[in-house]
Order: sequence, then C-alpha cells, then structure tokens
Amino acid sequence: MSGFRKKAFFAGAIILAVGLLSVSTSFAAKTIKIGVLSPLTGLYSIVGKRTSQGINMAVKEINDAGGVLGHKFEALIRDSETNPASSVRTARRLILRDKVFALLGPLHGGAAIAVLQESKKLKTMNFPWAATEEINTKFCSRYTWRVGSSAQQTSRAGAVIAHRLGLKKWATISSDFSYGRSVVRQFWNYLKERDPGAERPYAAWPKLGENDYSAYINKMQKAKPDAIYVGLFGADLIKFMKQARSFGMYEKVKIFTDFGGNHVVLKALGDQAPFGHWASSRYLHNYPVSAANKRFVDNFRKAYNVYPDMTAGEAYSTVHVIAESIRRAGAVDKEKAIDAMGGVAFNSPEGWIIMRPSDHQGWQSSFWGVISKSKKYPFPVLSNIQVISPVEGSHPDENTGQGCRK
Amino acid sequence: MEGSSSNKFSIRRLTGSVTNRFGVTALLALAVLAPFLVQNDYYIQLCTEILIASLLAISLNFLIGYTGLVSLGHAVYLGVGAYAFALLTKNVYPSMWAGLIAAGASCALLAWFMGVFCVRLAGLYFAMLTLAFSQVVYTVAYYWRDVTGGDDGMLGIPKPEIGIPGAFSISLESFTNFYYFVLIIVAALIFLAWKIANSPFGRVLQAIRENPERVEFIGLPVHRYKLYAFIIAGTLGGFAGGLYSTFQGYISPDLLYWTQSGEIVLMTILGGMYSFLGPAFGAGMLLFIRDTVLNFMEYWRIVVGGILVLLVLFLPGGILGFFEGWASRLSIGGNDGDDARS
Repeated sequence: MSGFRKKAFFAGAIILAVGLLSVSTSFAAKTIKIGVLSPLTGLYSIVGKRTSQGINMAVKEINDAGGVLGHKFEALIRDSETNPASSVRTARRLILRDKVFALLGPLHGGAAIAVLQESKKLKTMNFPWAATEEINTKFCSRYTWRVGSSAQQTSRAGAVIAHRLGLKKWATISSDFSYGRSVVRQFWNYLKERDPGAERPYAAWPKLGENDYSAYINKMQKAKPDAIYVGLFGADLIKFMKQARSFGMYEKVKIFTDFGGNHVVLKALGDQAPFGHWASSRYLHNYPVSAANKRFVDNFRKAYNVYPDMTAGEAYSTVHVIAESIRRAGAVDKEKAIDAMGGVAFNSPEGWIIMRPSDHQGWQSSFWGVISKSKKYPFPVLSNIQVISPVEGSHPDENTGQGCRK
Repeated sequence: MEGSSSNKFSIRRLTGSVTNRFGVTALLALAVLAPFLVQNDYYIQLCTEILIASLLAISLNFLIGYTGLVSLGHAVYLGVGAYAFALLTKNVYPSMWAGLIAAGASCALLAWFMGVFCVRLAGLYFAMLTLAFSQVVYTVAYYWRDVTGGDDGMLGIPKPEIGIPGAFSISLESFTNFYYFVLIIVAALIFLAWKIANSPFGRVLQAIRENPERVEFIGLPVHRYKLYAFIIAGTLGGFAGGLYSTFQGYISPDLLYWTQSGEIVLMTILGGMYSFLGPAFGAGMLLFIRDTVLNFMEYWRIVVGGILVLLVLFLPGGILGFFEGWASRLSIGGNDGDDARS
C-alpha cells in the first residue's frame, strides 16, 4: 500500500510538472505582434515608461486607421531590466514563444549587441534603442536596423557646435561601456578632424551606475578645461549634473551633454539644470514646429498627461516605420519586410527619417540647443536650437554598414 | 543553521526519499521526454537553463546544506567558469570538451586558493569573506576590458560540435541537441555529486555541519575536509559556468555580481537545502516563476520574495524538503533503510 501511495505521489508530481511546462499561449489570427524590450526597471527606468507609451500610441494609431494589410498591431512590452542576460532571455522568449514579427530594444548598448546577435540567429528584425555605433558597423546584419539616431549623429553634431564656438581645451566624461565610449570617441575624433589644435588633458571613464563622481570632478577641475563633454546617460547623468553643480562647475566651464536635452532629464533636474549650457536630444517636443510634431505632442498629452521625451518619440517612429515597410512589401512576411525596409521614409514628429539601405541607419537631422527656462513650460527646455543635417552628422557609408548585407 | 532538534531527521532526508529508485527514474524519464512534451524551442531553452541552474544550486548545497557553510560568493564560479570557457573556445581552441575542462579546472584552482583563506572562518565571517572574494573577481572582470570586454561582456561564444574527429560529429546548434548534451553532462555530474555526498567523506561533512568540535575530537582534520568540500562545490559550479557560457553565447560581469550569488542561495533555500535534489527543484521553481510572472509584470522579484517569506515561516525545510517529509510520513517507516545503504 505504501509503495502504491508513493507511486501515486510521484505520478501526481509529474503530471503537475508537465502541466506547468506546457502552458501555451493562443495565437489570435490577423495580428502582427511586435516584441518590445523597454527598461522598466534599473538604471534607465526613467525613460522606460515613456518608451512604452510611445509604442502604445503608435500601435493605437495604426489600428484605428484599420491596421496594415488587414492586420492589427499588438505590442508585447517586456522589461529588459537594463541587464544583458535578462534582455537576451526575454528576447528569446518573445521570438520563440510569442512569435513576434519584429523585436524593438533594448536601450543598454551591451545588451543591445547581445540581443541583435540573438535575433540574427533567430531571423527576426531587431530595432535597438541603443545608439552605440557598433550596431551599424561591425555587428550589423540583415536583421539589424535602427530608426533612432546613432551616437555618431548626435556626437558629431556636438563637435560641429563645439567647433563653431571655438572651444579648445576639453575634458570628457562618459560611462565605460560600448555606448559611452562610442559617444566620446565620435565627438572627439570629429572635433580633432575639424580643429587639429583642440586638446584633451583629461578623459574620465566611470563605471555604468556610478554614484559618486566627486573624484572625477576634482580631476576635471585640476585639468582646467574650457569645456566638458558629458556622455553619461539616464540616471547617471542626473547624478553627475547635481554633483557637478555643487562643485560650482556650471559657472567655471561650458558643459555639453549628449543626452541632457532629453525632456525627462530636464524635468528631473528642474531648477538645478545647467542653464545656458549646450545639450542635445534625439527628439524634442518643442522643435520642429511642424504639424506632425504638434499632433504627436497633443495626442500624447491627451493620452498620458505628460510630455513625450526622446525615447517616446523614437519608439513611436520605429513602430510606424515597421508598418510602412510591411505596406511597401505588400505582404505580412518577415523577410519581405526587411527587403522593403531600405529606403522607407517616414514623416516623423522630429522630421523626415529615411532608412539608409547601406548601413540600416535612419537618416535624420540632429538637434543641439541651449538649456533655458521657459515661460510656456513649467520645466527647462532647449532653445536656440541648431539643426545639424545628416550629411554633416552621419558617417559616410563606406565607414559603416560593413556587416549589414550578411 | 537549523535547530539541533531536527538534526537526525535532516541527515536522513539528505539521502532520503526522492533519491529512491522510482523517483530518480521518473525524473530522468521526464527530463529525457521534456523536449517532446513542451514542443516549443523556447521551453526547450528554459529547460536547458533549469538544468544548468540545478547543477549550480546543487554545487552550492555542498557548502550550505552539507557542510553548514553559507557562501555568499558562489556566483564567482559561475562567472569564472563562463569566462574560462569563453576565452578558451574563442581565442585558443574551439572545443567543447577543452572548454568545459578549462571551466572546471580554473574554478577548482580558484576554489582551492579562496578556500585556504575562507575555511578557517565560520558563520558570518565565512560568508563575508566569500562575498569579498567574489566582488574582487567581479571588479577584475569589469575593469580588464582588453580581456573580458568590460561591461560590454563577451559575445559570440561558440557551441563547438562534439564527436570524434574524422569519424563523426554532432552539431549542438539545434535547441534539442544542445538540451540533450546538457542533460547528459548535468546528470553525470549530479550523479557524481550524489556519490560523493553519500560516501563516508560526505558523512564527515554532515558531521562537521552538526558539530565541528566533536569531529575535531574524533581526530579528523576539519579544515581540510571543509577545504575539500569548498573545492568540490567550486569545481561543479565551474562546470555549470562553462555550460552557461556556451548556452547563452554571451556573458557579462553581471554573472559575477553578488546579487547573482544571492539568487543561487535563494534557489537552494526555496527547494530545500536538506534535500539532495531540493536545490535543483528550487532552481526550476525560480526560473519558472520568473518566466511566468515576467509575462504580466516586471516585478517578479516581489513574487519570489513573497514566496520566500512564506516558506521560511511555514516550510523551513524548503518545498521539496516538505514534500519528501510528507511522502516519507505517508509510507510509514518505508525509507528508514535508505541512508544505511551507501
């Protein structure tokens, strides 16, 4: 009897285990699923929510207009945890289990490179949020595309402004990982190209997620630069700016922040923002003053009661570009959509974005401006906005896109 | 650790009921059939990851459950094993076996080195020192950009094919093939671990856990036994690291971070540290909960944390530990002979 009971117990346990493992999802017909890796927790979580909102808004617009080729869009938004291992695991689940048509994200540069290798292996289009240049150089593949600006576009544009202002002696600070290195490298190389007399006595490479920047700021002050170029991103940038302010850096040097024009950063800094200093954002809610941008900002505010930030704008445009590629392909087919992607043009809130076939990068203008107080908005905004054309900001394609056609 | 009132019971459980022949056969059959049952590449991958995590958790349990040493730095073996595999197969010679041996050997050496310092301490001091060592290794991996790739990690770690050169070879690129490969390795290593755990050597470890002074009085070298346990745990962890490296194809210093160590401890406690297969069960539970909860919210750690609180309050022996106790109570006295067998 006891033997029987034991066997019954194990049989029960096995049935339970099998039942748990074979939980499957049902597939609704006629939907195009897009998988989204959004930094909902971790270092970049300040932009995660807006990314999701931008996605949802684009999906709603597409569906309200009747979908694409009779198919509705559906976004599966998952947390990337700003962590490569989790991002890869979630990417796999979205592709293999949920059978997504395309994969969007993640934002962390290292995670993005890991995910794009995975999506290449599993033959699914991937649009990383990360701006690191390696995405359209050595790690590019048939499946990797980027609608948002690349680090070279904003940083080279920063170098153009820096050169115009005639600033000679620089210090740079950026996180020690692919994106952080990429931002500063692009800025510095392009500035040196334009102004061989520029010098850089100090370059700081704190680790991602650093909390105490005082040692770096001290060394920076000892180097006595005319200006500093800050490549930090997300919460790191906010921490750094607050500490730099307490050291009186705002008064001593010109500050250029690559990510500092982003609405969520300016809003978080509020009165502690570096007014009068230069910053960039890959999308601005107050520029360009176009019908497309006004409609986007109005609808976004109506839906979520907040202003869209850079990631919201880029996420929104990415979904529309995917929809456009399917329309051009004339079929809901992963491979055909990729064939049709090169040359897709979208009138986005930030202006026209054209997907360049050679390096899979969305061609677009870059924006730099001066951080200012505003009468119209209850938070700092960029003013005196300088538009740098993609011709000046992007690499010529012989320098990029080596791997894209593989 | 546990109160002494449950000592006798817990020692018996270590070798007890689930490791009986029927249970093991059923588990193995389930593992072999899993790819056919789940029918989806994603779940085959999840099962593969669970197998690797099981090996890792069982390796840690050599310290926690058997020897009574709570290590908070076990991720160091996962990380070092993973980096050893990656560096060897990417830069020197792309061979699965060479990679795995490098992973195990490097961790054996590391564990020996760390163990010399760590095993002389007990309790909190031991835990702190293992944590400190693992953070040192993490920092090295983080800043040694030229070798480890820094925070960007290492990409494109191969899955070299196995076989006899010239005769035949099996590609491991398919999810199913790779799953079976991992299953064979993990099953073999877990079997080895079980043999060690139930050898006289394993008994001494348990005696050390219960009362190190008495073991010392008997005349056994406690430190040396602890060191051996430390090396065994490290080596098995290193093999798990090597497998993880080739499984993910991508590694980063996060693997070495202390939160990763915490996760392994969590697996062990969740499943039951006084049960041989408990940690493996805990590993499966943790990964399964994460996978399920992540589908509808990002705060999966809250769910795991909540379960852990309930567990510590109501099932201190862990989930499998509880079921084993329950099963052995059902079959009254049926298992008492088990632990005398080995």
